Parts: sequence; C-alpha cells; structure tokens
Amino acid sequence: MTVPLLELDQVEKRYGPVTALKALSLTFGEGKAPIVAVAGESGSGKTTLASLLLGFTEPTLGEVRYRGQALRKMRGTVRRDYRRDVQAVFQDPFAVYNPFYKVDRALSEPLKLFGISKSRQQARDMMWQACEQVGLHPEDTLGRFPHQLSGGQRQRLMIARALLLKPKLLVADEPVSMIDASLRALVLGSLRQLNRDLQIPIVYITHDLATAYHIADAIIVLYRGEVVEAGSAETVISSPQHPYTQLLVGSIPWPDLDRPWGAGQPILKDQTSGMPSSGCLFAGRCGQAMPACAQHPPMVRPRADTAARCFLHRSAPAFAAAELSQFLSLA
Amino acid sequence: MKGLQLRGLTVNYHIDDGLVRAVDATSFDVAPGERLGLVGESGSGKTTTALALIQLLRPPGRVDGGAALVDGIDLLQLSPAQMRERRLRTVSYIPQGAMNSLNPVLRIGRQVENALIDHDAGGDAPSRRAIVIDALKGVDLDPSVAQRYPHELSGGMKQRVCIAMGMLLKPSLIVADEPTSALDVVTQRHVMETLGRRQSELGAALILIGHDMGLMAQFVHRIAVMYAGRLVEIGSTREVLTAPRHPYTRALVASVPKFSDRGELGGIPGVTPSLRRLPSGCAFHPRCTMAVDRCRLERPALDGAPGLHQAACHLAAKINLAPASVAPQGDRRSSLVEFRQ
Repeated sequence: MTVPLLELDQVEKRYGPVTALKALSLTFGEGKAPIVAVAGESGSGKTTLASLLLGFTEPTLGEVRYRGQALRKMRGTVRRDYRRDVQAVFQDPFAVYNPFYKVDRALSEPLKLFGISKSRQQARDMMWQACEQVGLHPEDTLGRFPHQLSGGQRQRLMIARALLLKPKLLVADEPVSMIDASLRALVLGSLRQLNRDLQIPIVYITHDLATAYHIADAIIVLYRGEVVEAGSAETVISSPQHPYTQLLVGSIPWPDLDRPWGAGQPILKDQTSGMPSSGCLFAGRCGQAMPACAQHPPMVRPRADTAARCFLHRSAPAFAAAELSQFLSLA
Repeated sequence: MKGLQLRGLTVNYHIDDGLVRAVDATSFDVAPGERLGLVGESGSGKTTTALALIQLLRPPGRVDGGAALVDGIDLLQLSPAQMRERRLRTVSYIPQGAMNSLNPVLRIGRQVENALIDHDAGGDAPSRRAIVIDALKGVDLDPSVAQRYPHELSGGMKQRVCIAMGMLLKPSLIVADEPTSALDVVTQRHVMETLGRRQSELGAALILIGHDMGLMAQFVHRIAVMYAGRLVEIGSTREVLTAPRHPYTRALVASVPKFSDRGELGGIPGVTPSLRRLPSGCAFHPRCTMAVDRCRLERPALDGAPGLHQAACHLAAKINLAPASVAPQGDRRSSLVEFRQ
C-alpha cells in the first residue's frame, strides 16, 4: 500500500469548551483529483478544517500526516516539500498582496524559495505561462501593483501562483466570496481547469452551495463541527437527505424564477438558550426532531452515493467513517 | 406623488486632475410598496447612487445635478440639519454590515430607543419602550433581546435589529445596500424575508443594491442595471432575467450559477473600465462581443418610455429578437405573494 499524500486521522479541534471540529478522518491519495466542497454556516468548522490541512493549527486530538509523517513533528526538507505540495487560495484577494511590491513578487518569491526556476528568464517565462493558464493576459497583469488589478484578476493570479508550484493538493477557502458576481465564474472556471488539466484535487471551502453545485464532484456538509451529510455534489444538492442540508439548499436564492426561495422550508428560530451538546446537534432547530434525536445519530447510507447522519434514515445501511475518503473519491 | 422619483442624478468626484463622473444622469421611479434591485459591478455607481440619496457622500464626491423626490421633498436639496431630520422618517439606509454599526457597550433596547429620542418621537419613556419592544417583535426578535448587548447576538439577529431601527419611523423609502453579504444563506433568507415583510407592511418603496442576481430574482419586482456610472437596462425582474436586452445584462445573467444547467459557468471577460478614462461611445464596447463601429463612436441612450423594459444599446432592438439565455417557466407572482404574507 502506498503512503497517502495527506491524511487526517481522527482529527478533532477544540477551542476551550467549544469543539470546532469533531473526530474526522480523511485521506488524500495520489492519482485522485476530485473537487470536494466543504459547506456549512459560520461556525460549522469548515475553516478549522482548512487550517488543519494547511498546518496553521494543530489538532487537539488525532494526527495530520503528510506522506506518513506527523505534521507537528516535521522539519527541514520534508516540511518544505509539504509547504510546496499543499497550496492555498484564500478568501481575501486584497490582503494577500503586499501593496508596496508589484504583483510579480507574489509569483517570483516562491519560485526562488523552492528553487524551481534556474534563471530570471526562466522564472519570467514560467510566470508568463501560468498567467495564460488562468486566463490572464500576462502583459496586462505582470509588472503592475495590486491596486491596479480587479479582485477577480488578483484571485486568478493567486491560482496562477499555486499552479507554478505544481501542488498535489489545493485548499481554496471561500475563494470567490469577496469577488463581484460577474467575475466569480471566471475564477471558478480557472480552478476547475487547473483541477482537470493538472489533476490536482481541490478542497473547496464555501458557504455558497450554488457554486459548489456547479464545480464540485463531491460535497461534505458540516454542522457545528460534525459531518451531517456527504456524497456526490449533484445528488446531495438536488435532493438533500439531512434536514439541515435541506434547509441550506432551500435557502439558496437561485436566479431561476421557477425555484421559489425557501419553498417549504421554515425560518429557523433564533437560538436564545444553549445549543444541545449531545445527541443530534441539529435537533433543537429541526422541524422533524423526534425522541430518538436525544441520542447521537450514526452516519448511514440512504442512497448509494450519499451518507447522512440522521435518524430519519435509520433503516438505511450503516456507513463506516473510515469509508468517507473512498466514498468521496479522494483515495 | 408617493414613492421615489429620481431624475437625472449626477455625481462627480472632484479630484486633483479633474472630474470623475461616478453617476451620470440617472433616472428611475420606485412606487410605494415596490422593490427595485440596483445591480452592477464594483465601481458601477450603485453605492454612490445610494449614498447620494441619503446625503452621505464624502468629498471629493458631490451631487452636481438632479432631483430625488420622496413625498414631494427633494432629498438632494435638504440642508444637513434637514436631512438629519428626514433620515428614518422619510428615508432609511441599511448599509452593508449594518450590524457592525451597533454600539458594543449599549444594550440593544437603549440603542433603538435612542433613535426615537433623537427624532423627538415615541412620547414618554414607557411608551418609547413599548415601541421598541414592538419594533423588535416586528423583525422576529424576542423582546428579551432589548436587554442584551450586541456581542450576545448572532450576525443575523444584529442585522434584524438594524432593520427594526430603520423601520421605527415608517420611512417612505428604504435603501438597503447589500444588507446580507456577510451572512450565510439560511440567515440571509431570514433577514431578507423580515425586511420584505416590514417593507410591505409599511408600503415603503425599497431599493436593494447588490450584485447577487439570485437574491434579486427572489426579492425584487424590477431590476435596474448600472455600468460605469450609467443605467444600461431597467425592466421587470422577469424581463431582465429571461429576456435581457443589453449585452452586459445578458453576460451578467449568464454568469450566475443556475440550478437548471449544472456545470455551465460563463463569465464576463475584461475589466470594468476606469471612470477616469471611460471608453468612447458605449462604455461596454471593449468587452462586448457584439460591438460594431457605431458603438465606438456614439453613446447609446435608454430606448423606449420610462416604466417599460428599457435598454441603452444600439443593438437592443435586434437583441430583443434573439432567444434569451435563460428561459425559466412558472409564474413569478406566486412566490412574491407568499413573500408578502
């Protein structure tokens, strides 16, 4: 058996009394290149997951491993390889650039740092080519200062930067939420092209299920730090099984006039008292809660390509947490 | 005349190297009870239009022409003191991230009450408090929220507090500038349904500013599209979404992820032009796939009559005949009716 590129092994993250992410195991194998969307509301743990994958935060329990080595113990060249193999695209395309330098620097620095280019000319050629690969005109982009480019251009340049390093995994945390709607499609198109052409798997973290529906192959829905539904993005979003996913999907304002907003989905009551910390975490806000929900529901498999954590599907076949990565075509 | 009549609004930024026209002779009406969506990219002039209406433009921005009539009052002619009086009474503004404007060290009830005190409204203290409680209930908040501090509330609850404040003095016009851009979809729906319900109850005219065509499709009755400081298209939501007549609107509509065609994503190539150096003729021509010589030379004006589906494009008459890029079925009114209940 080959050693996987990146592995989350029963990883849990707590901040004081709050569990931001509950025991999660995910394996990113090599040779698999799906786009996996991670969706959920603020506080669902999706950015915690990104921070763990990128080594920005250490897990409270469990271990994150890169090529079999625990992230927290990694030093020297292995750590450098990891930094190169796992790349990120962040939410804010304004904050990631140093306004005093031309945007070229964001691309040339990593080339130098990782010793990828042998000469200035080669670095220049590579940057030029990377721009073209994400649909930017290099002559209009390179040599400029960040404020001279639009948010969409800057974000695509970040994708070009990630691309230069030929990563094995890309973590994109809300890459289009701060970009004008008319430019979102272009940025997402660049991501998808990168995924298809270079066979790079992408973890697409978002609260926007409409874009997840369009570019993701698989989706994980988190609620208060726990996976409540996972499976094929198309099936999960077109016919969600968990009441929370149903609420999320029902709340998407589609531009399709024949899909009325929130059809059949009640408005959530404000949570004025404490949230339940045992049993089903969604039960307090769920219209279909029943006595059984005081227990913690296991993941089951209501459909061949969907797993959900809900007693409404108690008769469905069991689903082992260890299967999740294969289920999402990650390993 | 009720509602808003905006006539020829022109806003310039007076900077060292001359004038930059941010809003160019823009006119539209919003009837009482009607919701108009004002859409466009960053820099299209949509927020500048809103700020001009409530006199919150900052120098070097200045209104250099036009009128904005609400209840027979021209908002653009009011002195700062008069405008202060008219805010909340005649026009309310709900900005992007309004929730961050709450004072962190005052209880919610006190802050809402202060708005009444500032406007010499609401009578004595007990009656003011009763109004505050009613206002909170009106936006689906528990009366106990009055005793809380902003940090104890979620983002959606804080945004609804801001809506409650905006509605206190029953304004005739509500201007909401991306009121839900920082919220997740479930919370967004709750906030927008609350805003829509209160607006319908008051019969106020509402302008919703944003770039989310999905939100517009589900919330507003009419859509006005701005590009580089000018109105390029205006019509009913159905007309603009299903039969857009301006090539920019067509591209904008096509760039929004729809449920019906998964995997299709169309963007608008090119960059919004700089207002300092607007292209000649039609400002959209460098990005337009249909541009002809005339577009480079002559600036198109809005065609047709106000109140109809209008577009500012030399080719709009032809485009109207081409099949629309989206063709949803079903009746939009049914969902609006639900909304208003």
